[in-house]
Amino acid sequence: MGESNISSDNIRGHLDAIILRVLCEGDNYGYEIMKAIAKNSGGQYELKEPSLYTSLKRLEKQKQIVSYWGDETQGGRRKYYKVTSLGKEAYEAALESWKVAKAIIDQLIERQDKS
Amino acid sequence: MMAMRHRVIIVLAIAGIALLVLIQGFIIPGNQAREEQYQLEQQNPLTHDLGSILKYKNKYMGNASNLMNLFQHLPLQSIPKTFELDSDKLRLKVLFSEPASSVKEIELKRALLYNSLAAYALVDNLEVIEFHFTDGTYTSTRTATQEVFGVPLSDLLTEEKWKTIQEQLKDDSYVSKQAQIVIQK
Amino acid sequence: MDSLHKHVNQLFAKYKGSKQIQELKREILSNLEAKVADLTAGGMSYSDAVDVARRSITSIDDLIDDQSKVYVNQMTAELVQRGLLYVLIAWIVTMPFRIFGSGIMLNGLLLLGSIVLGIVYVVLRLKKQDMHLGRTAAFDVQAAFRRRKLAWIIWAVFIIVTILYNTAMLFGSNIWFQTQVKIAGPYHFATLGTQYALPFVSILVPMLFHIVPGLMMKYEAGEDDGYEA
Repeated sequence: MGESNISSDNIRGHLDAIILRVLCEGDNYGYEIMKAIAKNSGGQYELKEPSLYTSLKRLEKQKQIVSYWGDETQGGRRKYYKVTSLGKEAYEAALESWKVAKAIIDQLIERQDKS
Repeated sequence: MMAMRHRVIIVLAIAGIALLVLIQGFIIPGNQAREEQYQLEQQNPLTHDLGSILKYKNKYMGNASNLMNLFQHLPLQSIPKTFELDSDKLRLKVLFSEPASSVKEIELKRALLYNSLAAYALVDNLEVIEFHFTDGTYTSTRTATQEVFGVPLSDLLTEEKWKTIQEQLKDDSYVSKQAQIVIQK
Repeated sequence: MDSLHKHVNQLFAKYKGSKQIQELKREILSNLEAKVADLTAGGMSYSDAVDVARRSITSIDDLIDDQSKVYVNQMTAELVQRGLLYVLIAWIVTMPFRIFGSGIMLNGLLLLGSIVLGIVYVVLRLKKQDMHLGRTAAFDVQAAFRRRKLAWIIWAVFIIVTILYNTAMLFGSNIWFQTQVKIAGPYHFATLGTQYALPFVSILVPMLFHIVPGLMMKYEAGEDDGYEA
């Protein structure tokens, strides 16, 4: 549990981008988004419901995603989210900045074995 | 919902005003009139309410506040007065600050007779009452009062017997006759 | 999915009035249902799955906007109307106390309140056409809920204190000397009753605080009205 908490802290700042990535692969609803994230992490990270709804709400307000109610014939109807072009741009930007940050942080944190 | 509440408000406002008029215009004035009527009746020995003085029943005349309260609820209550107690002689002095002539003579006699009877009946060891007016003093004693009304006086403190006495006091000649015995000038 | 439904209803109990929040409720319920279906398909027992689902979300207060855009004029109109209704009722209920002489002040105040609110109410109704019904302002619904709770707490304390105070004043010596409480006749009883009953009129205040959050949600403007966070 402790291990997963530490990774949660590191991941929290990137939740929006993580969700945008899932939605870039196709429209989806809340529970499936959580499942997809768990699967993408190889079972190492599990998104909690409160964080999911907070992120979705924020993304919707920023017009990076839009929502619509599905037309399921069986069972309850589900609320789907669709990424907008603004969302796609935001995702690309987040990806770029992450790559840069990752490279820098690697350099800063990883021990360099002097040869 | 808003329209419905609007109608309720109008109905309530009308009902409230009607109720206010009823209470302020009829019930309160009616109560006041009844209260005034009652106060007026307490000034008169013939209509005085025994119930209003029963709570001043006491064994000892030494209880000054009890005696004073009693006289504030008897006829002649409207005349300003002070009191003096003489516990050795078991005597009460009521000092009126007006002359006796301010009251009609027969009414004065009726009131003194009635007040003496009430005081002796209620306060067990009271023997003498002196009614001091600015123009003269009237004295009554328990012995003389008992002579007129029979013994013991405290037995008269029932609504029924009291009414009979008040009936008798209506008769002016009866009042004059008994006052001769009870009240010494 | 009965107990799941109940759980979600409980989470949203205090937000009954808001359409947007109802939408969030439906979304959360449908996702929890999907979760339970998925877990049971994976071999978990139904009741365990419901338990997991219930534990995954235990409060939604953080998901509710701090600031809600509210049609402020419409909300004020209803608040004034309800306030007027309550004050009128209180005025009528306390009127009989006038007969006993006590409570004339309070009843007079309530009459004054009725008149003032009545004038405001009539003016608002007459000006209805000129009013910008679409005018909105931002309100903090959560803060309104907190104020409502606070109003009830303060009122409860006030009532307890007045009851204790009255009892100490009226029967303190009876209690202290363990003598019997004497009530001399119906008039005395009515006076005592009045003294205890009149403070309860102050329930008007927390009642008004109570309806404010509901009104905010009822007159909440939609998200799509060009509102930017």
